[in-house]
Amino acid sequence: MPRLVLIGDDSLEKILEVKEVTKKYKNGRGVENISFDINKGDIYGFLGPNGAGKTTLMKIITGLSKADKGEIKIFGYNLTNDFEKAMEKVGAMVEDAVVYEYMSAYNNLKLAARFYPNVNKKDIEGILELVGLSEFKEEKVSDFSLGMKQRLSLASALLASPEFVILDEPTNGLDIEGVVEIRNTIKNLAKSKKISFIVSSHQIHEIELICNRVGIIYNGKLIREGQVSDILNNNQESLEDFFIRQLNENRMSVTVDNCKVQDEEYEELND
Amino acid sequence: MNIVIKNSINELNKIFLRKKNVFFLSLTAIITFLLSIGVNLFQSKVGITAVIGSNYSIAVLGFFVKIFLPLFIFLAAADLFSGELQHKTLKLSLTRPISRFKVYLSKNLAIGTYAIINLLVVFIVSNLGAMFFRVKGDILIGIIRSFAAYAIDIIPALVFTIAAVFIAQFFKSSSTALISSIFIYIALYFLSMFFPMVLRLSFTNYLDLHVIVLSGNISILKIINTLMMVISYGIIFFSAGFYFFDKKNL
Repeated sequence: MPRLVLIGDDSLEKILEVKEVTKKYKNGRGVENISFDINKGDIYGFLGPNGAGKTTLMKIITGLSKADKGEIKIFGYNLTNDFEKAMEKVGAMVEDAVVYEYMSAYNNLKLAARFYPNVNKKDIEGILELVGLSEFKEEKVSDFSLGMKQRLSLASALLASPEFVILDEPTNGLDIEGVVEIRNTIKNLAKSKKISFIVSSHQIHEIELICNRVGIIYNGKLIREGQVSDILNNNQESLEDFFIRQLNENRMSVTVDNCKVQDEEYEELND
Repeated sequence: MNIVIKNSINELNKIFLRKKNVFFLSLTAIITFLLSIGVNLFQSKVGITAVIGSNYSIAVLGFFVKIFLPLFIFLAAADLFSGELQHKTLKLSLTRPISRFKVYLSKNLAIGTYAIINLLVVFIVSNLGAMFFRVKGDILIGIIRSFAAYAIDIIPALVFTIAAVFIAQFFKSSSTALISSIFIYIALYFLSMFFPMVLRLSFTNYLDLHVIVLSGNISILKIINTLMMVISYGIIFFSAGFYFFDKKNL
């Protein structure tokens, strides 16, 4: 039986409102007519195969890409008209674990800290401690492993104590230990500090273990969304089976391998 | 502190954390100083005074703003725009609570500040070097004239920065942006040799604006006209550069 954490409450403050967002690239790919909301305390998972549109949507939500149509509000602020206000309490890690390789870990975070009035040296050191990079803080990031860069990138997203964090494939390239660590960090922050998350992944097991709500995205469309607990209890099936059924109903042939189902090692580590 | 100033500090930090920028700046300072010793020795041996103390700093300026400063500006613009696009680090600024306009403005300000720092270093070092062969009584006048020349040339240097940033918008790699910028600059230089219209209208021909302003032969109206033309290039390049920067989908 899969484990769940929080259940978001629809009556809570809306953190993110996405209304009929569409973006089409020249090759015809993109996202189409996507609408959903995220409430305070939600850990919302975006599930979909590679190329489904998850990263495109994450980029639109963070302002890295502009939607052709639709509206996005973060904490009630329109992302287009009030970008700075909208992003004040947002942390983001989009696509790859991107950091300034020619700087030290500490300097990377010092640069990020300048955007926020209340972040000081103590906060930087605290976040480095949280992600396990304290002893490497003065080392150049070019010498870091992929996992370390990923953790630094996550630290950068969490530095200013955001209330809403956007994570695009946060466990990509990490070893099993790293994956469990990131997953536990997300769950703990959501529980202790009521931080809302949106996490995109093509790994069903990860979404099942972390998120309380899930949106399934395929071919640029949000084909199904809802509470993970409802999906599991009402349909009496695993999230994996539910996911595959949704994709099949939308006429995509999919195998378990496509969706990169986690192996048993995750369950062992989580025990 | 205003977010634009804070991000400008960030961008300037990025420039100076790159060893190559510090290396080139240091090399410029060393060469400028050693050149002053060399010129002085040469003049005293040959017995010809081609460069007197008060002229040395200004002579170096003419050479510096036409050759080295454009190269340093192209390097910085390529790194902060095309290079960041290439390495995907541009999104580290664009996902923060700062608008794209302010990111663009602060990057321009940082590169402009870097250009001014370069001019300041060359001013200080060239005047120190000029002490070797300045005539007594000539020192203060020489420094004042030199300071005026360097201060005047800040304006075209800043416009050049904005133009270099504009060029960088069209390239997704820092090396391509750098090489293309250099080619465009050289092309404009040769075109201005053969086409008088280009000579008059191309702002790259006014990088040594101090020559016009301090010559004493040019009317004040002509100076203002030239200044307005150079500044208007800055406005056009800034607006056009921001248009392309704002359109980018990362």
